[in-house]
Order: sequence, then C-alpha cells, then structure tokens
Amino acid sequence: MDQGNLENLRKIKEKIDGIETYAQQLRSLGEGVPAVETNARCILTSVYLLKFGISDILDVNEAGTQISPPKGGTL
Amino acid sequence: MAARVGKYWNPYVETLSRKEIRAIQLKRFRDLLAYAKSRCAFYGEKYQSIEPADIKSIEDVRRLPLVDKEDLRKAQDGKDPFPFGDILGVPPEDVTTFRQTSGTTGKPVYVPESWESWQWRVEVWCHILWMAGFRPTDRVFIPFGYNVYVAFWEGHFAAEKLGCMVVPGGALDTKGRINKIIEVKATGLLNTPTYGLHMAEEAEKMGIKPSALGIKRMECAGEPLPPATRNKLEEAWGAEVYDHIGGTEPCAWAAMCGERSGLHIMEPFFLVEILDLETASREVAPGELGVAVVTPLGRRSFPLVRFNTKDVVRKGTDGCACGRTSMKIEEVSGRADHLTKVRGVLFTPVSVEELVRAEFPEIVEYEIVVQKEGIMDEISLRVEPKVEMAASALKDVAHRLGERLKIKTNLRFKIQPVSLGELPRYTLKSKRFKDLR
Repeated sequence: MDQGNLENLRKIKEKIDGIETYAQQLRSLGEGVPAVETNARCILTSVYLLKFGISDILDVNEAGTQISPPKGGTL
Repeated sequence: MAARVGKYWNPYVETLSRKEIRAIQLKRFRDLLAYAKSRCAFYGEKYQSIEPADIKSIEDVRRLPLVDKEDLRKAQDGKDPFPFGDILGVPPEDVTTFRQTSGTTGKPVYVPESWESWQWRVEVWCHILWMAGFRPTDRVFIPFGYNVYVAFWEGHFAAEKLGCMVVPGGALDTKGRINKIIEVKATGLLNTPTYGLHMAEEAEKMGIKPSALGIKRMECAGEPLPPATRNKLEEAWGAEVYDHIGGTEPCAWAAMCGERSGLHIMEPFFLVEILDLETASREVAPGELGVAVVTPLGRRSFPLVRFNTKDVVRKGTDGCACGRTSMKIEEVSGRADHLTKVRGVLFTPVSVEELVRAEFPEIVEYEIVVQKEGIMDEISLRVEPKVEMAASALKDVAHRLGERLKIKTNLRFKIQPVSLGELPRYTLKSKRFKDLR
C-alpha cells in the first residue's frame, strides 16, 4: 500500500480509536439508562465494523503482513 | 484513492495484495478459534487439542476437522441455552435476531445473531450490493415476505444502509407486486431467479413488457443461477442480473461484480477453501470443481469454523478487470447433496436448468423425478409449456429435449409434458428435483 493511503488509514484509525473511547465512556456514564447504553452499544458495533474494514488493514501493513498470534482468547 | 471512490464500498479492503489478505485471514482465524473455544462448548470439545497460536499457515488450518450442518444440529438438539445450545457464542440476552435454515435436509438449524453479528452480516451485504451497482439513488423492491429465513433480511438492511429507498413487497400477490414496482418506480430488485422469471411471465400476461418496468439491476438469491437463466432474466427485464452465493449459517460469502464473470469471494471477511469432492482435504486447482468450506471471520454470536457448505463450485483465480484482488469462483455448480448417481452416471440438476433455460423458451416450468422402476433408476422430466401447444409441436419439443439431455447428461430422460399451470411456481427455494429412490 502506498504512503498516501497508509497516512490516510492512520488518521482514520486514530479517529476510530477516539470514537471507541468516547462510546465506552458514554456507556459507563449512561449505565442504567437504556437510551444511552443502547445507543452507545450501537456506536461500538459501528466501531467494530470500522476496525474490521480499516484498523485491521493498517495493522497488517504496519506489521509487514506478519501479525503475531494472539495471547488472549478474545476477539 | 480519489479515482477509486465510488467504485468500491471499501477500497482499502477490496484492493489488498494477496499477501495482505492471507495475513489478515490467518490473524482473524486464530482470533475466531480462540474466541469460539473459550465461549462455545461445542468448539471447546471439538478442537480441544488445537492451540489457536499454532495456526500460522493455511496448511495449519487444514488440520482442523470440518464442521457440517449435522454437527450444528447435534450441538443444538435439546441443549441449553434453548434453542441454540452449545454453539451460542454470546450470552443469550445479547441475541437480537433469530433466523433458521429451511430444514430441507432435516431439522432446521437455529441461527442466533447479536446486534453486532447481524450488523457484520449487513456490512458484507453492503459490499455485495455496492459491487452490483446499487447506489443511494436506487429504489429497491423486494417481492417477498421474509419470514424466519435470512435471505432477504440482509439485503433489505444493507440496501437501507447504502441509502436506497427499500420497498418490501410481502403480503402482495404477483400482480400486486408488479403494480407496486410501477407505483414506486423501482429501479432495483432482490429476487430469486425462479420468481424473477415468474414475475416476467405474469407481467406479460398483464400486457406489460417486464423490460418497460424500469428495473436496472437485480441481485438474485436462494438458488443456483446458471448463465442461461441469468441471460434469460437479463433479456426479459432489460436489467443487469447479479448472482451471489451464501447460506443461513455462514452468510453470503461470494458475489458478482460489474464484470458479471464469476463471483468474488468476500475476502478478508471470510476464509474460503475449495476442497476436492472426494475427501474434502485438498485444495483444488483453478478450473476444478470442489466443495466450499467457509469460515466467517467476524461473527461472535454464532461462530463457524471450517463449515462445510456442501456447495459445489468451480474454483477461479485472483484478479479481475474491476480491480478487486479477491479470489474468485468461476461458477456455482450445485449442491454436493444434489450431486447424485443415476444409473451410475454422476448427475446434477443444474445441468437441466441450464439446458432448459438456454435452448427451450417454449418451456416455462419443469420438474425432475428420479425413482426406481424394478431394479433400475428411471429419470423423468415433467415439462410445462409456456402457452397451449398442438400435440405434434409438443411432441417435437419433447423429442428435441430428450436428445439434447442425452448429449448433455449421458442419461436418457423420460419426457412428460403436463398441462398449463400444473407444476408449482416457487417464490423462495425451488424444489424441482425429487429423488424418490
């Protein structure tokens, strides 16, 4: 992947990570309030899909296509 | 990147190098396996001796035993949490969507989807529809009540996510659906091939040319779509017709792009192996037929590892004029459980579909029946003409059809013409092949 694309991916990934952090905080702050918790969960699902389509691509590029096996048992 | 915007749903994913695709697949495979082993009793037991971290190549993947529909049935049968049993990958309260298989080959398999896993399926379908040219300006008509089956729900939600206007057409009869297409000026259809042909036939009876209805593209689901049937649909509707392959358990895993030549495997959402029909242990070469073994790499509520779909496909190569880099399959040949021997000859019902649709426009519907007569297998083909025909003309069609079938399949068929309207019309999965032996 060329440098221009990689740079763009890095910027997108940074935003995805930021949204994830905010959505997790939102979920905690709204604990017990379904309207907040549920919508925060929906945002986190979108984050999951964005990671699938963007962050994983960057990770594989930055690891030189050699990604280490996971240590834990979660996806 | 700017030049590619608009062509791809996700250009970063769709133009990865083969090396990158494989690296992502293997990472996701390990992650999925670790997750499934820790959450599902079924996988904990089945893959007890396998360490996810040891999976470093596709050869390592091949060491894992396959999973098939019968395994899933057993993992669910009478087991808690009801009704998903040992295969459920999330807490039961996280399940938001219930789907099931049609139960054609036995007890249905119940497929739980969490919100996240369902959205994952919808995302895959966004790729499929975008690849087929669906855009936010489309008005998409879906002429079915979707019931508990997965097929058109995914397409519905994905079309909405794309920004299309989606018009569900359940609870209408075929005439009502044709009128609805006219009323909303639909530009796209999600359809089964059989029902696409049936709607065209009904429109003609209403004095409407289907090609005048304004449908520009059609994504087909539910049945094999050999080129002859696709051509027939394209001709009747004056539309681009696209195929995909998938199932309730694994999701749709390959689909056509604008080139309409073969189907792109939806990498790296899936790891798809095309294995030899005899032993399901060796990857076949491009051009060979094999059975598709599919691992969806991001669904946690219903994890599937090396699921034997029993779909028989012809393996293709990577690369395409559309610029996507995923591996392709050249064609969907049918189901391994429909591949049967008749008088010692290997037979697949798709060969009849292909011939009838390509060469016999006089025939609107057909049914294949295999049964024993004495100790011999007998194969017959019941055919329904499109319009009333003189006995001599019908006899001539039957004779030509018998001759062509003999050449194409190496089998002598008994051709039985039936009256107009005698054979059933199908909307979802057609059942034109009956093995009564």
